[in-house]
Amino acid sequence: MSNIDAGNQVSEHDLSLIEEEERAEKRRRWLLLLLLLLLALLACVLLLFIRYLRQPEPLPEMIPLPVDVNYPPHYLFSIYGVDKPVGVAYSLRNDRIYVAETGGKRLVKIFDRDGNPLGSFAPPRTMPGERSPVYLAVDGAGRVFVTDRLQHAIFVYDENGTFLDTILGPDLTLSEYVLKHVNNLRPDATFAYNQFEHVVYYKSPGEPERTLPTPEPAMWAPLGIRFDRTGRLLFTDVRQERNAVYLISADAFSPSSWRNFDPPVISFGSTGQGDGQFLFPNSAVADSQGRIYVTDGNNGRISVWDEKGQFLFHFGGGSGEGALSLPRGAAIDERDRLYVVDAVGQNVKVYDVSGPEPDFLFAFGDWGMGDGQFNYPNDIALDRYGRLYIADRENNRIQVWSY
Amino acid sequence: MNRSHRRSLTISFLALLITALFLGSGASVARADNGPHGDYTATTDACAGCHRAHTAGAPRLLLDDVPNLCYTCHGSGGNGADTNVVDGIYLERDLDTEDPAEGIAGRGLKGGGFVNALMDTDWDGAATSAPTTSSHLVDGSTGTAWGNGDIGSGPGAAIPLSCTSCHDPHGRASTTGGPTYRLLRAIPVNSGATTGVDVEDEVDKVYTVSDTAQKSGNQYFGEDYGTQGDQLSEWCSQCHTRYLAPGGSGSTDSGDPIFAYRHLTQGSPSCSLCHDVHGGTLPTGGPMFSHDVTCVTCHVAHGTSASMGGYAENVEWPDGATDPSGNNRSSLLRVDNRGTCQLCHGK
Ligand code: HEC
Ligand code: HEC
Ligand code: HEC
Ligand code: HEC
Ligand code: HEC
Ligand code: HEC
Repeated sequence: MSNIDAGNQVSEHDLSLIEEEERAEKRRRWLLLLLLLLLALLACVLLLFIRYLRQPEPLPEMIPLPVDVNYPPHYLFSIYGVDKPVGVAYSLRNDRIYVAETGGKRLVKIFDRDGNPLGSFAPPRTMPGERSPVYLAVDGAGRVFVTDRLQHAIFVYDENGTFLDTILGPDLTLSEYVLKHVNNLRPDATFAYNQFEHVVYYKSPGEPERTLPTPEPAMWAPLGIRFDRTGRLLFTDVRQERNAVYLISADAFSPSSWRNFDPPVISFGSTGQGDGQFLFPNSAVADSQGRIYVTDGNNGRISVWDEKGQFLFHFGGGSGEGALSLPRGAAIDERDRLYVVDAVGQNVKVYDVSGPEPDFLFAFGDWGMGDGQFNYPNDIALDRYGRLYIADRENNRIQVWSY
Repeated sequence: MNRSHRRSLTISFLALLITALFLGSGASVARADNGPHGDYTATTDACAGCHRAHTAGAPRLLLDDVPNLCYTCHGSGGNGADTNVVDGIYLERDLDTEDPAEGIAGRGLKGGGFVNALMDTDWDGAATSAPTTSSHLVDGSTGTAWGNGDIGSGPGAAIPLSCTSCHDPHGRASTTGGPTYRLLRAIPVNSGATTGVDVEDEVDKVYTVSDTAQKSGNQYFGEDYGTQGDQLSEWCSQCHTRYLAPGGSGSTDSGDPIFAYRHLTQGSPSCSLCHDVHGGTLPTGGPMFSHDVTCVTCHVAHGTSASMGGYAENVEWPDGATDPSGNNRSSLLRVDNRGTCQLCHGK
């Protein structure tokens, strides 16, 4: 008995020794693991720190967190120093923001992402009361396309605002027009045209300025303008006779074609309130499937078309959640969320359009003059870091929101 | 129930009532272009364009916010209308002469502009866009409505002014609920008038100054307003009461210490004043564009870019003040200095 007891005692003692050793071993392993983990974390932090030093940015933009599509953004800050802005665009090429003003001198102003002013520009030879930049779009090369409601034209500038050319109609550019009339024009010749003066100006370096009669005015009134992901240009035409959307293929904008501008154009829509009709369409954007969403301003709705220009359906009219008052500028993000600025609704309404039917997700903003409040907002642009830029017209600022 | 609740209830009720009225007023002639103003049908979403769709509360339209709403469509961006009242320019681009749109593309609007105007005010044959020198101030601030009130009541009552003082954005603004010229309210807000003046609507709307007797297309003088001219004189005079003057007022004391001798502003004078029909003398000098002399013969309704020099820039205001002087004294006139007078009197 006692032997057995003793034996038991011994084995119990041994057991507890072994157990203790095992526990110690475990603890060591844990500690080692912890140490490794801590080291890894330190490495991460160091890496992030180094990245931060090279490109200072807030944390959420450095680590793209997976975001639920139904997660509204928050207000970050505002860019001031703009007079009644109605259009805003973002350049992927150089992370710049371009803003079109309808007040004051009516310039297009350039800012960096943090709102530092970088310059401004306007169509050559125009007075403020003769020009009205409204919407803008930036192409892959960084060129800025600006629709002008008073000039009935699309002005094209380089990324710094140097005037390049004017699109005077769906098949006519100013350079093309001048070339048609002037033989061996030097490539560095400059030209200008103001609809309210009745001449076209051109000048070769070292020579006096000369003039030409004005071109036949085109029957169009371009307003909303956007490039889609594939580089096609989408613009809206608000001519009374025929409100429509135009689609111009990407290759039309290669430098060589400027002086022989006659791109294939798809256009769709007409004036009115029925299906497939528009009243003052303010912008047209395409989703990842190629479907086109048109903000049908005075009809208070979004109309949806397939990539060939066949009318599909419209939504956002009527009343209730997600109903629009006066839809204007729009944008689509890479998750196929459609952002629509509602000028009279005084907010931005967001729809998930990835499925067959659009889903209203949420709206952000409300009327007012404080941070995150709007006073007749008109346009929106998205950057690649999850920021949103909204032209807040009567508050004379661009609001920057972020996820 | 608190105040704001009561208010939103009242307003919802009003909204219902107004909608019912609009819808109930029966089949109306579809007018060429009232835009979102009026002609509401049962399925209309048209209220939403100006009133927030989802908020049940008040329409939230303070007087000084009104122009911001109107400029959202009628501003220089022309995002929702072709009549850009900021620059006084018509934006439409239909050049089809067989079926012209409601005016000529790029031409000046009849009312002039609130910020810039495209007018040939010096009558030299070329119009250039220039900042306005005077306009009705529509920012909701209070100004003296010169001549407002009865004979002997001083320079005029001070009233706040906005777009909706003169226009009813819902249309059907006549004394009998019918359409009016440019949605003009039969009784302008705060005018103190009680009877109301209906300015007849145009059958075919033309928003731009006309071609007749013009060298450049933007000479504002000589516009023939027809019936609307006389009606507009009476209409303006609901606010500027004592400016309404029949023929002969230039030599008859009205009895008012300030507005004693007044230029004819109402209708046509008798022929014999100018034409000596029997003796065969012709009127002195300049081209008499229209026989009517009304407020809109000499003034535009919104704003002008005319400039004033010499005598014209220092004319005392009716209350005796001389400021502002210079071009600010352009008093909505259609032509520089006293060119307005020359064009009829040719002195
Ligand atoms: C073109 C813009 C516009 C449209 C369209 C419009 N409203 Fe209004 N509404 C206004 C403005 C501006 C006011 C403020 C009036 C003022 O300042 O006198 C107003 C005021 C009102 C009021 C307050 C009472 C009043 O008359 O002041 C009601 C009720 C109303 N609207 C109902 C409607 C309904 C119902 C519709 C659609 C059938 C509609 N509105 C369409 C611009 C509009
Ligand atoms: C949703 C856009 C929109 C808003 C907001 C708007 N309008 Fe209009 N308005 C139009 C359109 C479109 C027309 C048709 C003529 C044109 O294209 O300019 C028009 C026409 C008019 C006319 C001429 C009507 C006629 O019978 O000839 C007047 C006057 C007018 N608006 C005044 C106003 C006033 C005052 C406001 C602000 C209370 C206002 N509008 C707000 C779109 C708008
Ligand atoms: C003092 C009264 C008054 C005020 C204030 C006023 N209007 Fe007018 N408006 C008129 C009259 C009168 C006309 C007709 C002018 C004509 O035919 O010569 C007119 C014409 C118009 C037209 C037709 C285009 C034109 O110029 O003929 C529009 C659009 C318009 N007004 C919008 C507005 C808007 C928007 C505001 C505010 C920013 C405004 N109005 C303020 C009296 C007024
Ligand atoms: C024959 C041209 C003419 C006609 C018609 C006319 N005005 Fe004038 N108005 C002027 C001139 C010129 C001035 C500048 C001040 C001056 O010389 O008395 C003026 C100034 C004014 C002023 C600014 C205050 C002042 O007296 O200086 C008001 C208000 C005014 N007019 C209203 C009207 C109204 C309302 C009508 C129509 C009932 C009208 N006018 C018709 C020429 C005219
Ligand atoms: C709702 C009332 C109202 C109506 C209607 C109205 N006015 Fe006036 N008017 C005013 C007020 C208030 C002022 C002074 C403050 C300002 O300039 O807005 C004024 C100022 C003026 C002035 C002097 C402008 C200056 O240089 O300061 C002229 C000229 C004038 N009105 C002409 C007209 C004519 C012409 C019409 C008709 C087309 C008209 N008004 C209709 C209220 C009105
Ligand atoms: C649209 C044409 C027209 C314009 C513009 C015009 N007048 Fe006259 N004027 C007349 C007519 C017609 C009469 C006759 C008036 C009458 O029957 O009382 C007249 C009469 C007069 C008289 C004589 C008044 C009298 O009864 O003795 C004077 C002085 C006068 N105008 C000055 C001016 C001045 C100053 C201006 C510029 C502010 C002006 N007129 C602009 C048409 C015009």
